[in-house]
Amino acid sequence: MSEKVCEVKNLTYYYPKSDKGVKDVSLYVNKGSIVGLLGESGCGKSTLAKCISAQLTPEYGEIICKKIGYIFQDNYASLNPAKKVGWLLKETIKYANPEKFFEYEKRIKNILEDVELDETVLEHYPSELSGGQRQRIGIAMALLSNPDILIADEPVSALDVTVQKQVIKLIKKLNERKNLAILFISHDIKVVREICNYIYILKDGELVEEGESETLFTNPSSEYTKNLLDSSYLE
Amino acid sequence: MKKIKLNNQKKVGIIIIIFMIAFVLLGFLNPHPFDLMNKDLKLAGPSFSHLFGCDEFGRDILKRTQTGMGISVAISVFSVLIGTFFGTVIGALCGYFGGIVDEVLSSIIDVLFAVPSLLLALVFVSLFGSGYLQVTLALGIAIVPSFAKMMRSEFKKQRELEYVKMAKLLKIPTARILFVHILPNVTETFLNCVFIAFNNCILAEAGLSFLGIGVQPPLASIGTLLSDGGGYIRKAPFMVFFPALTLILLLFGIGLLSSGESFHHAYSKRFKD
Repeated sequence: MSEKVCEVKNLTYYYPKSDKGVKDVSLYVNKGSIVGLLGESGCGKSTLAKCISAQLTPEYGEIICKKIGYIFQDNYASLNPAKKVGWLLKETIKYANPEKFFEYEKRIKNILEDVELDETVLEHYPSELSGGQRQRIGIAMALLSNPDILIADEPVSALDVTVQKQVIKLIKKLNERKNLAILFISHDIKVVREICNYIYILKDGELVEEGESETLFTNPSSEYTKNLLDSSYLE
Repeated sequence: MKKIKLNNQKKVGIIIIIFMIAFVLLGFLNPHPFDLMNKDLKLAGPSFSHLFGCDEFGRDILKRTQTGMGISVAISVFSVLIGTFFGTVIGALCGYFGGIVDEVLSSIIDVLFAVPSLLLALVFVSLFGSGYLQVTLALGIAIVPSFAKMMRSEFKKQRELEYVKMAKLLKIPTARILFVHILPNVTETFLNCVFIAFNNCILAEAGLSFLGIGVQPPLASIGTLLSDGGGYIRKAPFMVFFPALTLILLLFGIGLLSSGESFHHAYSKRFKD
């Protein structure tokens, strides 16, 4: 049996003065697996991710997770525009992995190799990089804390199709090489199908279905999943 | 090395300010002491030995203007430093934390904001006496509310951005997030506030000294020079003209420096070119 790196039990969170949020959600992510969290925009995917990563405090429920790395959706806003990439990576090591700070140069070199970027990016500001390069820097920063699980909150939705493929390939590669667990959040069925082993479907803050990727796509049990899949085939 | 492209307004502003700094520094080479009286030179007009003429006590107006400008600028610089420091800290705390911290600090700021800065400075001076130290502190305190308000709104905007959330996730200490991560991103507003505050301080200091509650004789400041010259405006207009000209030039230079395209914009434009 695989080791669980993250488990969420009966998590409930509502935004103040709103009925929006997530209700009684339970899920788990095993080591080395890529778990998809799929649903329409506004269904609570990012809220759930924020609760798991302690950006929001849930009202009920239990979260047992090992070390988390987080990849944000907006690769432009997630990198400090006033600082160079080299500074951002150094700062990340300083606080996410202080015991290894003495070898930060080596760590930066290695992480850039992992995300397939060359060292010239270190001297650039985020605004000088392409969307794909920025997202790779975001992934590098998430990896620098040596996470057991990586939460990727719509990591490719702001990228064009070609760059999307490259980033997905990179995430897959990192998962295989580092045996890293990934919670992949997306509203894009094709992307989730391509990358995930196990999928949770979220609707209006509640889980409506879960299952192995191929089983869920070939034989969905809930009406909502069927509609969701049909709408994607219509495209 | 970062290259900042400046527009023509800023370039002219910088030239004027360099000129004013040189004007003040050249005062050290001026052989006439600023407080040396000479009854033979009473209200003497501009000449080669006294380029700006002499005042009612025969003191060299050029030297007094140079000294006065230096004192006015020094008072304003220190006032801005005090106001900027406390204003930024208070604004940053209010904007970043929100909630009860924001409510309490904002209420204090609102009360201070309701009192005109010059009146606030007058109250301070009347409580603690007149003099350049008191004026510096009074003007510094008077700047805090406006600075805090501007910084509060900037930090409030920034705290919602993902790079700040990223910094929080990395458990970077709050003080570092505020002043190392966020502050460089609000430079545009920060610098504009500094320039406006500096201009206001120069004017307020001149106003307080003009009213006789700022810098005390025999020390000079632009305000005292204008006040002294006011009584002789028909007989010796140069007593007002030269100090007023230097004051206008300084304010104009700072105004140009803070106008038009911001430094931040000029800086980010570098990437597009």
